[in-house]
Amino acid sequence: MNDEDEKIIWDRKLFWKIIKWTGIILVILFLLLMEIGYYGPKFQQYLIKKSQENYIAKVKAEDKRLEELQKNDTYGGKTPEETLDLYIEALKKGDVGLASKYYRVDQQEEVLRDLAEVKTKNNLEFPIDFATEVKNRGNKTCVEDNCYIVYEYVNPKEEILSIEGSQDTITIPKGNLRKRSINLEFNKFPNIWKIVEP
Amino acid sequence: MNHNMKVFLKSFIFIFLIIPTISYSYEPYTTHAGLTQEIVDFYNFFSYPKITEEEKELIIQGSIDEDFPNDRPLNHFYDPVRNIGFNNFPTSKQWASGEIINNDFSWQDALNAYARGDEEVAFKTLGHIIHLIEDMGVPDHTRNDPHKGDGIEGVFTNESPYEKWANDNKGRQTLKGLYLTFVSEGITPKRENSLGDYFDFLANYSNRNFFSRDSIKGELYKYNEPLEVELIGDYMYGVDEYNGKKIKLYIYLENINTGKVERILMVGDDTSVLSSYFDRLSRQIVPVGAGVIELFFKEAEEAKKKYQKEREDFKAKEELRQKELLEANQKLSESGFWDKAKYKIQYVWEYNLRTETFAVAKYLREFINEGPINLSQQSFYVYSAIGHSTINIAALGVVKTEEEVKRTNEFVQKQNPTTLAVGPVFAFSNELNTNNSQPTNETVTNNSQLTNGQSTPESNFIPTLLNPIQNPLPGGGGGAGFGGGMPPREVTVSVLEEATTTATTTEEVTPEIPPPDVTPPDISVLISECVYSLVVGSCVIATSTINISWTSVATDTAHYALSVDNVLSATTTETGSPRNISAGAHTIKVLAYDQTGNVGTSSEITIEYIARPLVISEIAWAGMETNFNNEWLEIYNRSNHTVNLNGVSIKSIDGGPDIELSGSIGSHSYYLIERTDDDSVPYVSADLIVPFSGSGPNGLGNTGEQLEIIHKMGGISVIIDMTPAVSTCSGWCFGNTSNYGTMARSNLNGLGSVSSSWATDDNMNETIFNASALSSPLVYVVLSGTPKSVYIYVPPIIVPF
Repeated sequence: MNDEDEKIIWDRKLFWKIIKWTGIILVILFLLLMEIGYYGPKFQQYLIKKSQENYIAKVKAEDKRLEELQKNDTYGGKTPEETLDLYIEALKKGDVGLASKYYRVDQQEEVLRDLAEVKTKNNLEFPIDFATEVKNRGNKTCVEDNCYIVYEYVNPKEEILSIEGSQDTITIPKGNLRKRSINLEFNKFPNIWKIVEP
Repeated sequence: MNHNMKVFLKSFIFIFLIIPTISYSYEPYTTHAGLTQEIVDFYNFFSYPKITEEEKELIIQGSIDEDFPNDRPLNHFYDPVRNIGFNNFPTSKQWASGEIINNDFSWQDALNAYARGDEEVAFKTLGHIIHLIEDMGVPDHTRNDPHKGDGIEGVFTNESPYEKWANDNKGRQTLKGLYLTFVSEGITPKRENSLGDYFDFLANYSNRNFFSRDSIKGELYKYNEPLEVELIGDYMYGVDEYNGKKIKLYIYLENINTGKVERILMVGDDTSVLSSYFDRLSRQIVPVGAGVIELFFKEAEEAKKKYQKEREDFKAKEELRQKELLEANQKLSESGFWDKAKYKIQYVWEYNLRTETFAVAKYLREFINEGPINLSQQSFYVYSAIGHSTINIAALGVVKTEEEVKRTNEFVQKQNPTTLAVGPVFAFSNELNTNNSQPTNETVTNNSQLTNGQSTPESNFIPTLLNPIQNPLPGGGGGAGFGGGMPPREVTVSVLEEATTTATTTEEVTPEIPPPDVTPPDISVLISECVYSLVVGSCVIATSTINISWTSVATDTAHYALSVDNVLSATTTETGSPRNISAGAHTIKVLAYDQTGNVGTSSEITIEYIARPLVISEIAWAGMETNFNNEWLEIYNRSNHTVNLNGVSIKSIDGGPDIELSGSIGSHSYYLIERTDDDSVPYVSADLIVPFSGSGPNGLGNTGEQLEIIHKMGGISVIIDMTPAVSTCSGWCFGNTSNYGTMARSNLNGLGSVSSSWATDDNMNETIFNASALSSPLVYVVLSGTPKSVYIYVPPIIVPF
């Protein structure tokens, strides 16, 4: 038997070996697919159910975390007006970190980001004037644990304002009836009032 | 990780994990209950079969229950534009159909329950579906806005202002009678061909014509609609695609810190945007809900016919199989050793191998044809922005039947005789836009005035009844109305734009001479026991005491007379009477007499009292030799009716077992209850398999039990049949543990409480079968007892094969 013959025999062996193992793999794959076919929908339902349970568990955990923060919250006044005074005072000092703490705990991070940007632009006068004007000239309405202070006025001049969350602007004509409003919510744990975004 | 990525991830977590919590949509106990109530009343005005008050309460209860436990609301979202549910969960449309994920209160479950006669479950499940439909009228649910919900603990998360407002203002009391407003406007139940079409219709409407709090800003998804048309003051207006009216979409409000303007749905106590939302959405929710109920009855009746046919087929098949088994046993007893071996092989093939072999072959065939996985079931995992819904809502009109047009016009004429026939207000096609002669600016002005609390009705405003008028016309005999003969008076009206607002106005009516009263008083009669009838479609009860009550809306009714089997009793001013009736059928009606001598007669009710329609016919209290826990009970229906077993139970006076029966039992047929599994009586299918548990000891005690068949009729329990007291025979009167004989009713017509009606049934019969489907050795068994009248059962003598 020369080398050529040996090579042919070896090639044949290899060929049949490949065929055999391909067959075995196909059979295993076939059986696997059958199992998936049978259990697939059940598995799918299990995944959804599990996903929903996880979701609820995360929400509960987050609620618990926020509740703890709320219980330990000490930043706020005994009345809505007192909280606004504290907020204005913090802004006048340029302490935007303190000012943001007068908001409800889940909104503080976002408010701090906004106020930091306003401070960078040297424009803290705007929120100070806004809060002062609404507090002094607005009408207060309270329903259960919520109070709204709304100040209505006639737009003295045409204004072009940016719209939050978009690149668009809006033109408010002169003479339009407009409103400025601040919402406050009662934190029942430490008995203090917190500012909330609408 | 760069800064932008961090910001993105943070935003993602904020939006999808932290802030969004469990949302209940409309509050279940108030707004859902109120809307469901109006849907059922609106349905009852137009459609048949009528839904009773009890059934209505079941539907309302179901609509409340759909929000519990708190993982169910996660399936209440459906964005029809992108065909997705919330957070990768099934859409509410899929949830209602029971696809993708198992839902015990799906549309099919409601149909199945109705088909098998379990109406309590059917109506409650229908309520669950109605809840899902109502949620399609919440923009947050169709714009995939998690709307920050109430939070599981109700702490610290922003709510949807729309849902909160609806919760505070729209409950059963405030919404009561709202359906009459819609009737007066010519709105009729919406007709679609399938439940899915209803979901698509309402979801598209609320998605395309309304904003939710967070989808205005476009942070979640950018929707092209609703289109913003005009800014007036701080309010942005759009146009409703159905009625072409200009409507408030949102309010601009300056942010206290940044000075940028935000788009929000309410400012302080100004909720005009929200009330306008509810007003328009409820005009679609109620007729759509009523249409769903119509569809339910249509499909449920078909399902019932199919179910009954299947049961008959099954019964015929079962009888044939029993016959074959008896013949085989006969042959076996007459055959020799080799023939017995041959029969054994035949048996194994026939009752085990053949079925399993065919099942495997069928599965392989399906596998080859359809592949291992149904790909469509996987597809919902894929978030896709493609697949934009092509449903054109504006093209979907409402077809009113002649009967509906007639009824609507009658109603409107009754409410306001000056109003002509009502046009298709709900037919929100282009045709309506051209018909709308009211200038849009005027509508806006009206909205503005309404929100300021001034009661300026619209030009085509129709007064509607929210509360009955206290001074109806004399001699009208038929309830309140707006027609003729009274000086100027105060009426209560509902302002269309804001459904909760009621205003008092003065309506001038030209005085005229009232016509003579020739209208007989209306009268309707109710026998409370009939609500719990043992037979679907007629009134059959197992108690001789009945409570008859009657009512008349007419205000000039003087007295009544009760007629039993056409024998009139003395007149009375009472509106109810308890009665004892003898066994058999009776006819009941009530006559009402008014002050001018007119006589109204109620419809006639036929009621049948049957003493012991169901009896306990056999008790296998000793179980079987292989397992003494294999106990079973048999009930026999002595009546000529198919008895619905809703509310019927069999109970031991010591509390256990306490078995709620379900389904139905045919006339002069048996009902077999097996303990734990269907193997307690081999080869006879159980009608009910239960653990024989209750508040007392489990199972049938060997020292005796007194069993009762109880029919619960609301708060009253009627004992239909009972076995002898334990003290009568110091234990079971009959049956034994030596041969596992049963205690069988020897006299089905006799009283069950006396021992002379019973005997021991331990007649032996030889047969052959497997002890259980999974074991391989064949067994001979000797049977005693007569479950479902076939001789079968008792201790097996195992013969090695």
